[in-house]
Amino acid sequence: MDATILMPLSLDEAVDALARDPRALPVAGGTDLMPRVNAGTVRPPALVGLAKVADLRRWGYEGDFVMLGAGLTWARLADADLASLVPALAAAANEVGTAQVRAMGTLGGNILASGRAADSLPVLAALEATVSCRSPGGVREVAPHLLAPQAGPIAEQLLRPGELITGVRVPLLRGVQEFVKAPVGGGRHLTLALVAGPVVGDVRCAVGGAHPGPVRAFAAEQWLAGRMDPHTGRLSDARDAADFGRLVADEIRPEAEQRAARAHLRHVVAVCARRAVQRAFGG
Amino acid sequence: MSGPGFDFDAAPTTSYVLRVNGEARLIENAWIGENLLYVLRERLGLPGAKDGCGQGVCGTCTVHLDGVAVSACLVAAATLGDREVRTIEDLDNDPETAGVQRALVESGAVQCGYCVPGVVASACALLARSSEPGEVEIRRALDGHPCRCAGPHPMVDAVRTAARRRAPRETHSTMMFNVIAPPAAGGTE
Repeated sequence: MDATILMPLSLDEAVDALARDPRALPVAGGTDLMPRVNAGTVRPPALVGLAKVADLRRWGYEGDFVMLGAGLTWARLADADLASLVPALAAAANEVGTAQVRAMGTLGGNILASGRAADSLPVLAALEATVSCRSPGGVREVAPHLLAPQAGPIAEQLLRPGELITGVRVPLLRGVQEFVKAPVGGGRHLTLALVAGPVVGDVRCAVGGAHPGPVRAFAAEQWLAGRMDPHTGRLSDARDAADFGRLVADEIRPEAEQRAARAHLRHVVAVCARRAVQRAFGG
Repeated sequence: MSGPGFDFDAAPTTSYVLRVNGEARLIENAWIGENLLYVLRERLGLPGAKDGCGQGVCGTCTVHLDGVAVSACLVAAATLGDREVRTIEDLDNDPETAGVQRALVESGAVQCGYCVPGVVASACALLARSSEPGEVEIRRALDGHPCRCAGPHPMVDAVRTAARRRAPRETHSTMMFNVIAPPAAGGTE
């Protein structure tokens, strides 16, 4: 087969293929690449097809973590077994695109696409998961929640040229995980992931769609953790959810060109955060 | 496929074998960025899947890939390897498909008809994996078919009717006990 299309059979072969030709684009589901190819905005010089790399579609336990292969599709992530392990990711998977897109689109492709529309990233940031980036030199683990979300596309910070996203390492957590997604016009969405551990004081919240990357609301998380009753884990006041929403919106400061749009986005972030807390804590 | 400033002579091409409707078809000297829909319609003479948006939104290009409904316009045809494509032309040979088609007509889900081959493909994929899909499951399976003529409700009714009408099938799940166990790791999809 010619060098314009490579169909590696293993992870090593795939990584070697990308290292040999850094212009080559990896293709798994194609749901992010092909709209741009069809519209003529991307002309791939070479493709590395990942259909035959079975290792990318595996998952397994690793101590207190679950390793999810980058080639797992949204439909697979929403299945009952993986949904019981990482509920927030399954909830995000359930709200992606159409049935046809969920059947093909993959976790790794979504991280690589990394636009504001990458729904997996706020979930991974809230879970404090790490992304495995593999090159012939070895594997680097990168944590999306430690990157600079306002600075530009996360994929460029996450991945070095020639590296392939092979999987995600997600801590297995007890407690609740919520995911809320809201359309804000023009095909844009805001997403919010909330993780509240069983240990009182452990709250994590990340917002997607507001900035180029997922943004954690560290101060609001601490405030909410302080409002949890140390014995029951419930919130001390029914108004805490709405207050938390306002704090998250103040901290995240969503980006938009117009002031009115910014005000709208702030409102939507506040509502998403309030709903996530209401679902997580009841009431 | 074309775009301003795109030099077709310099575009990278490849040749590969595509498994379509049970046959191995040779695709020669094709641009590597061609989507499956273009290959099916323009190179293999299978016009059943329709070209709508090219962005994976309209669902008119839906075909089966290893038995699952996918948007052909979002699939890079040259990277499919040995995965099996089935188009509406071949699905049409199944008796199940006739039941779905009849139910769609009877429910008033067919007006302009442009999206119908895709709807039939999605409905058949759903009925193949789920013997008695509930309303939520049907709506989720058809959420990639925004029909602007008849709206979604008649097609949901049609799938429910088609599922009800077919002969009840023996399934293993009716014979087995439910075993509560933590999900086992490993394995491919």
